[in-house]
Amino acid sequence: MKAEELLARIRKVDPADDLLQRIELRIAKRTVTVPLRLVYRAAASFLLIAALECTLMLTSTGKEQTDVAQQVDNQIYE
Amino acid sequence: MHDLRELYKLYSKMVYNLALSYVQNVEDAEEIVQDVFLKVHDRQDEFRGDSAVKTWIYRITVNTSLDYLKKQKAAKRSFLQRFSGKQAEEPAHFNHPGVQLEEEEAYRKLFGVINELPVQQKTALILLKIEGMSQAEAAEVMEISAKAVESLFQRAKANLSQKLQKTKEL
Repeated sequence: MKAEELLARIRKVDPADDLLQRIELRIAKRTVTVPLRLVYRAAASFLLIAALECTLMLTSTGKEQTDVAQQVDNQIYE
Repeated sequence: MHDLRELYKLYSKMVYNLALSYVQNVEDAEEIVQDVFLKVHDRQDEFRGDSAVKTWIYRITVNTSLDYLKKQKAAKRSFLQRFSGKQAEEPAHFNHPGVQLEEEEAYRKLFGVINELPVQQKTALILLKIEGMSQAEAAEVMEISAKAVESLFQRAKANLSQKLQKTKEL
């Protein structure tokens, strides 16, 4: 049998019944996880900046780590 | 624009069967259907209405299927190369629910050859011969001229018969 005839004879079939549910679940999961990811990213950036500030203060002033940490704390809460 | 459920009801069968033509197995086709409708959901605002919704969804399905195959091939290649230094072979996992069981072997061989065609030729062949589209419809989906579709199809046909001849000789 010719290849073209074989291709034309392929039957159209229905997808699984729960496929729409799976799609909606993926959309719902994404809706929840995207804002959470943003919160995590913001928190990570904040911590990174605080750590950098600590390092800079330690290297530039030579103060004790606890003093610097106290200063950073004060700055954050101001 | 449209409700996702409504679009799914209208086009999921079309998307699923088109995806099956590219990947020839149920699991991968279902993955593609999910990816397509997620894109439809995300990109509804981008739909400009220059073409019919059906053509737009067809286009997304073709592109998603091709991307899926590209990723799959790259993953297999890197895995095989890492462990054996060999190139990936054609996938043996054929599970197409639209073909008769007694003809499965013939289809497996045929798709094995179709999968070796360049992607544009493969798409022209699938849209014209499996989806039963006209050249004008296929041209709209592929965003090329009808003449280009005809040329791709003729080349696909020539390549196909050449490759099928080779497999018979083996």
